[in-house]
Amino acid sequence: MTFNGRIATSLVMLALFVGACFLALDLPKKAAFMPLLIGVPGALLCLWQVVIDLRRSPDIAEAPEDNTGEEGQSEAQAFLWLGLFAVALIGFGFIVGGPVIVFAFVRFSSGESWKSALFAATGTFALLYGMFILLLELTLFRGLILEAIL
Amino acid sequence: MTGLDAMFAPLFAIVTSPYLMGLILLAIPLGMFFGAVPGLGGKLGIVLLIPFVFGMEPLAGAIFLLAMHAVVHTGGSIPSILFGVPGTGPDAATIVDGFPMAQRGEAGRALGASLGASGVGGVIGAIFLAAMLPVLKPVILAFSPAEFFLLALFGITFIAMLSGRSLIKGIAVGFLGILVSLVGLDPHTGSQRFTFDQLWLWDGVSVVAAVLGIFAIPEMLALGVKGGSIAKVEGQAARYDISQVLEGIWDVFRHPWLTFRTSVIGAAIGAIPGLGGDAASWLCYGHAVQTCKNPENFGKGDVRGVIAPETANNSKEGGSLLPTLFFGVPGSSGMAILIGAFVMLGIQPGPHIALTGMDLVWSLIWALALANFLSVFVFLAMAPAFSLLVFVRGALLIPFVIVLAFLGAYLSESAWENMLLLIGLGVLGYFLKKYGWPRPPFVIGLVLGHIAEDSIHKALAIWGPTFFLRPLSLVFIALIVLTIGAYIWRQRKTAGGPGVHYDI
Repeated sequence: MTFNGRIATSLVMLALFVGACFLALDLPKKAAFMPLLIGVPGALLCLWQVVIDLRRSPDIAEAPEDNTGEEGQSEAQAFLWLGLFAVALIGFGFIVGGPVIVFAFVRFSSGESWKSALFAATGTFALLYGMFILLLELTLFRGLILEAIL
Repeated sequence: MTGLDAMFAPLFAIVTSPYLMGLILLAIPLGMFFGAVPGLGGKLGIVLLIPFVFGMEPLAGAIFLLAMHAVVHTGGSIPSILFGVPGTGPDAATIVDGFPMAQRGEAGRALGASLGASGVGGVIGAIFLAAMLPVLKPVILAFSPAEFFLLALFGITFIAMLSGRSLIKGIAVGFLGILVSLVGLDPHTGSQRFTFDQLWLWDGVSVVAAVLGIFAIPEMLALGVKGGSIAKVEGQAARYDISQVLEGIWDVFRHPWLTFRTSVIGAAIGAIPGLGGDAASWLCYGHAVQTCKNPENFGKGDVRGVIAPETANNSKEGGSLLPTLFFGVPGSSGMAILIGAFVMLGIQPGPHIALTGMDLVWSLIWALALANFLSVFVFLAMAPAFSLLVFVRGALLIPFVIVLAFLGAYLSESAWENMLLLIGLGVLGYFLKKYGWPRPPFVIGLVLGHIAEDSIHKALAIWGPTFFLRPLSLVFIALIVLTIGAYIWRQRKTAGGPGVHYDI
């Protein structure tokens, strides 16, 4: 038996259904009907999937798409960058945070030249400001940190 | 208003509106771009264009997105023919004869045949959709809440079976989509359901944020993990000139019956919920091999082997609009996302469209036909540039796509909290993608959840638990059982073999 990402994903799915069923038990009968109607069979299906995953032979469980050291590192970096995008955009908004994080990604993650990074950041600013604020007249999020400061 | 007026007034409104025609002309190269860059595809195209349709009139936004989606496979044939790399899954069938043609110096002819077949197929698909409307209307109106509940379950089961290796995973993901759709204030009791006292969740989860999270973020994470260019393409593109392309277009008209047959078959397959493009293109390719003279030429660069799958690829979009618009059950995974976009634009697909939304239906039919027709000319104008699209580097694409995904999530309800939802669902979506849990059923569950809940409450109030015994209900139960049976049969048949897997 090998515990890996495949089994963890099945367990997370199972936890989501079981959690929903438990939360539904506190609801009025009519409101709980549909969550239980869907949640119980969903949980059973996921439980079945967990059993299938656990019973798979170790060779199959170690499928090619499972983490190798290098891929695990790339994956961690990808998630780190996603977190940085979230911090930049939620913290500093689209107009400030957007170009800055695009610049940082192109320069430091992709390893492009400063010139390319600046070009990408300028393009992002032009798209966000020109297209969404000037042309479509939308109000873009200013960022929690910037709003608190300004 | 007479029938002809109802049919042609929307066409007149579109062609006389510079705004709508401009949107269609803008959507065509965008759709071709998403099709031609391997790994992007129409689904990602729709989710990325969602921020741009905010503030648009529902009709204009719907026409823009549909026109873009309609020509994705026209662009998808370019890398299939020039490099032997399918732009999208359904374009794989085009490689069988298209790539050998390119290798023997007939790349332009193959591209022309693909282009002409896509254009003609798309127009015939739209005509098929129009021809089916009078037949479909009474069927839709015969449906009661009991059937709509079972139709929702059938849609999820069917798409789960066809969109991945595991039916269990597919149905579970579909059910998760339904559960997510139940977040918010319960319409019957007014009590908070799964909201965790968060005000922004009272109106439910934003479909747009959820779709962007479950599709766009995982694709970009996967691209980031993989690194390098989007396509694993090496070497130079085959050279071609416009005279070859025109000869290829003429080839389509040299085989009129094959073009017509495969277009109709493609549209009919598209109308079956969930069957999608892969089935349509391969079935039509097989049909061409079985019915044409000199079948031994197929696989060695026969132009008929390009025409058959390409007509099907575009005509099936017309067919798949039928269940999408009238039942709210997507005809393909791309349509599943299109439904999410329609809901965001204020268009709620469902049976009421047959009574109150026929103007919209005709407008979409004409938009589909116009986009396919005009794509031929757009391609001819931009032919040299398209062959370079496969070399677009992922490293430069990822940050733009992520910023647009965050923007779409925020704009969907002007709530920054939706960006947190985007990240949560994005991470979940990444692992679902990585470990073979198909994601389209999630969107279907999310869109159909409300309809399913409303329908089952109504059905229970009217007929009680015996609503399952209504004749049409029994038909749907039989279809669900057949779907599961077909899955088990397919699993046994392909046991030990490679099996079919769609990376969605």
